[in-house]
Amino acid sequence: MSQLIIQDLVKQYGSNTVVQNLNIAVESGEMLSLLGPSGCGKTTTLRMIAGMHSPTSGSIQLDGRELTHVPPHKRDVGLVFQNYALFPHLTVFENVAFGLKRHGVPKGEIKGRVMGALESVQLANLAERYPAQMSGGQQQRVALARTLVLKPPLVLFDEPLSNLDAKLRQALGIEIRALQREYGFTGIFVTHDQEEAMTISDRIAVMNGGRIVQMGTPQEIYMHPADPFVADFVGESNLFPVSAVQPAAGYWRFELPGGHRLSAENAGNGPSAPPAHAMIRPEAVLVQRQPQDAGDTERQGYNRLIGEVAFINYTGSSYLIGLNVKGLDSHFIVRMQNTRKQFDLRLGEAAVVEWPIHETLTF
Amino acid sequence: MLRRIPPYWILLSPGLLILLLVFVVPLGRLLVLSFYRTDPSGAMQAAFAMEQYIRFFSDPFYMQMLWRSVYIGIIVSFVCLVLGYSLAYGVARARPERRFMLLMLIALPLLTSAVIRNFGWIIILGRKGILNETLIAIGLISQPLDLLYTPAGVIIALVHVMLPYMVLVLYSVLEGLDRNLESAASNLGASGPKVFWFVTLPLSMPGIIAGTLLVFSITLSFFVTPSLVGGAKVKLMATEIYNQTINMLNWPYASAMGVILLVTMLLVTGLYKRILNRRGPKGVNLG
Ligand SMILES: Nc1ncnc2c1ncn2[C@@H]1O[C@H](COP(=O)(O)OP(=O)(O)OP(=O)(O)O)[C@@H](O)[C@H]1O
Ligand SMILES: [Mg+2]
Repeated sequence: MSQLIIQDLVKQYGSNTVVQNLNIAVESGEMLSLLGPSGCGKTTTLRMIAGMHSPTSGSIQLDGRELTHVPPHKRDVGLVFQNYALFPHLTVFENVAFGLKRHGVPKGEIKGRVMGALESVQLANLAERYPAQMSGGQQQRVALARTLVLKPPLVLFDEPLSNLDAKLRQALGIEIRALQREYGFTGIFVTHDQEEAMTISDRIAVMNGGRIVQMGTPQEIYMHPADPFVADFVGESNLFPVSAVQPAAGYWRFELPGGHRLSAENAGNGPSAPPAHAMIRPEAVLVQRQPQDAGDTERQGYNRLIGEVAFINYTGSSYLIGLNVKGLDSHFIVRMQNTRKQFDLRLGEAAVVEWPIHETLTF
Repeated sequence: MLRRIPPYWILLSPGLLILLLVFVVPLGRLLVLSFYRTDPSGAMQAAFAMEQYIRFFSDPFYMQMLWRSVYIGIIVSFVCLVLGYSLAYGVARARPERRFMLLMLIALPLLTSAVIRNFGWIIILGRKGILNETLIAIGLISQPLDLLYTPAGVIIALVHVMLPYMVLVLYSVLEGLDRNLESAASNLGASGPKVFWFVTLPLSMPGIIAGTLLVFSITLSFFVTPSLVGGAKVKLMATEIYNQTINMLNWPYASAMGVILLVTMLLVTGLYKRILNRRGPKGVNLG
C-alpha cells in the first residue's frame, strides 16, 4: 500500500504562481479528489506528481521514495487523461500491452494480463478494435485498463469523466470505485464537478487560485464549508453579505441587504470575528404559500423571509424554486423534494421561507 | 435530369475541368508525340512506332541517366526527411508565438529567385569556392573537393531547395499530434527514445510519406538546379529533356523521355507505398 506525501509544492510560470505551497498527504488506498474551478492548478498539480512538469520547489514522496526528480517513465504512477489519450495506431489489446512491453514483462505473460485487465473493464470482446471504432465510454475504460494492468500503487485521474454524458459519468464513476477496491491503488481524482467529487472520493481537497482552501470528507466540506468560496462552489447555496452584526449569547444577529433580520449560531465559544457572509443550503429551507391571514409571526428557533416566486424548475425528484426577496440581488433558492403532495406555489405569488437557525452558516 | 448527378460531381467539376485542360490534354499529346518517328533529317513524322523508346532503352548512356535521376531523387528525399523531421519537430514544439517566425525562416529559400540561389551555390561549391577555401583554411582538407558539376553538389543544392517543402508537410502533421499521447507513453514506462519510436514516429507516418513523395517527385522533374549546379557533367532526365526539346528539337524523343520519367516516378512511388503499407502500423491512415 502506498502513501503519497506532497510538501510545499510550488509551480511558477514566469511571475505567475500557478500552484502555491501545496501540502497533501494521501493515505494508502484512499481516493482524494482535487476539486476546483477551471484554471486553479489541478492539472498542473497532477502533472507534477506524474513527472510531466517539474515543480519550482517542494517535494513529492511515494511510500518514502523521493519522486521529485525521478523521470516520468520510472515513477510507477498511473495517469488517466480527460481525452483518453489512447494510441490511435494500436488496437485495444496493443494499447493495454504497451506499458507491459515497456516494462519488459515476458511475452508469455502479456496476453493473460492484458485480457485480465480488459475483463475487469468488460471489454475483453473488443480487444482487436482500434480506438476510433469505440464510444467515449469504452475508450475511457480501455484507458483505465491500460493504466491498471501495470498495477501502479498510485493512480491519477485528470477529469476522466468530463467528456461523457451524465448517465455514463455516474456508471463509470462507480466502476472506478470498484476497480479501486479490486486493484487496491491509492487515487487522486481531479474534477471541477462537485457532485462527482462527492460520490467518488473519501476526501476532497477544494482548490482555488493554486491553493487548497479546504480539505475534508464530503460531509465536512458540504456541511461545514470553510469560506464563502467553498460554500458557493460545493453544492447549491444561498450566499449573502451581512451587516449590522450583533453578538448575542451563543448567537449572531445580523441583517441581509434589504434589512431582513436573521440569526445564526455562534459555534465558536467566546468572542470571534463577526461574520461577513451568511449561507443557507436550499434543501434546508421550507417554503410555503404565504397564508392570507398570517401576520409576521416568527417561529422560535427559525429564520424567516418573504418573497415572490420567480421560477419553479421541476426536475422530477425535486423542485428548484427561486424567490425574489426585496433587497437581495440574487434569487433565494429552495430545493424541495417531490413529496407527491399537492404543490400549491404559483409564479408571481408571495411565499414564505423558513429554516432552523442552526442551518444558517456564517463566515 | 440534375437530380441524377450526385452533388459531389458539381463540386468537383470546375477543378476537373481545369485538370482536364491543363493536365490530361497536354499529357495525351505528349503520349501521342512519343510514338512519332524522327527521320534522318531530324524532322518528326506522325506514326505509331516504338522507335524513341527503343532508342532510349538500348542506350546505356540514357539508362544510366535515368538511374542517376532516381538515385539522386531518393538521396535528396532521404536527406530532406532526416533534416526536415528534426526541424519540423523543433518548430512544432517551440512556443506558439515563435512558430510562425521559424517557419518563415525555413521557407526563405523558396522566396529567393531560383537563378540567384543557384549562382550562390556555384560560388560556394566551386574548386576555389567559399566552402573549399574555408575547409582548407581550417586544415580539414588539403586538396579542394570536387563539388560543383558533380552529383554531390547537385544533391546539396537540391536539398537546400526541397527542405522547406518537407518541413512544411511534416510540421503540419507534428503540430496536430496530440501531445498527451507522448505523455501517456512516458507515463506507461517508455523512455524518451521509445516514446519517439513507438508513438511519435508511427503517428507522423502520413507526413513522412507525403513529404518524401512530394520531394521525390519535384526533385525528379527539377531542372534549374541540376542544369546550373550540375552543368553539362551531371546529366539528368529533366536536363536532357530540356536539351532534346530546345537544342536538338527532337520532340518525339523528348516526349518519350517525359513519359519514361513519369512512369518511373509512378512505379517508384507505388513501390514505396506498398512497402510502407505492409510494414507500417495498422490503424494509421497512410493516405
Ligand atoms: N505552460 C504554461 N505556461 C503558463 N501558464 C500556464 C501553463 N500551463 C498552465 N498555465 C496556467 O496555470 C493555471 C492552471 O492551469 P491548470 O491546467 O493546472 O488548471 P486546471 O485546474 O487543470 O483547469 P481545468 O479545470 O480548466 O483543466 C492556468 O491559469 C493556466 O493558464
Ligand atoms: Mg485541467
